[in-house]
Amino acid sequence: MAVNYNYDAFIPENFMPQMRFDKSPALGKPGPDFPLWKIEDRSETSLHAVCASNALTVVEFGSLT
Amino acid sequence: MNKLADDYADRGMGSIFLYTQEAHPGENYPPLTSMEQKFANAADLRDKLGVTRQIYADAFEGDCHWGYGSMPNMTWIFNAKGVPLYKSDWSDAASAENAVAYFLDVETRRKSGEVLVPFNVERLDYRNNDTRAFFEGLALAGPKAVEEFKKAFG
Repeated sequence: MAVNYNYDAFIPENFMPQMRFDKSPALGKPGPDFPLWKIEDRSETSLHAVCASNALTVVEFGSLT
Repeated sequence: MNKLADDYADRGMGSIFLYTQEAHPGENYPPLTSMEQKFANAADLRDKLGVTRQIYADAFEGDCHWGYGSMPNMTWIFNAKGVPLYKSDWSDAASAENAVAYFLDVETRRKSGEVLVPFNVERLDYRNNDTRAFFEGLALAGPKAVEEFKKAFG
């Protein structure tokens, strides 16, 4: 886990260690599951539980900034 | 990406937005210090930028984001068993739609009796590089975010 995940400045020392796409999970094998929270009511679910609802699920990662 | 979600909603495709960290913290959206702040910023994303897909918040320290490579604006497509079928280090609706259409067709082909097995492929996709829109979005965070990006990338 990144020590400074919620960094306070967009500088290379902070964001470059997070550019880890080459270390991301392989396709075709079960991906890791993680808890997620619905923003409206803070109810907890998980990535796999969300995916189970449909044949395919598109997941866009990001933020307002 | 909202349009992609709408266009394929009745064809077995779900679509979510997973809120991570503030990639470009600024005066208006400073770095996250709590889950409450994360929920509030995610609500702003919905209300101010019009994200119509269900938004979920990742853990405060970005466990899911980190687990999938922690790129700031990436897209993954999963099947119902949580198996990733597609990953993109930048979100692009045309690229994602191309993949969705392909995978839905695979299911149609299987139902028609074709025997299909997976194989690995790599390719480069291409996206529009709308610099003006990017900086307009960045400005929402505040001048600090704009200056830091310019300093990092010129």
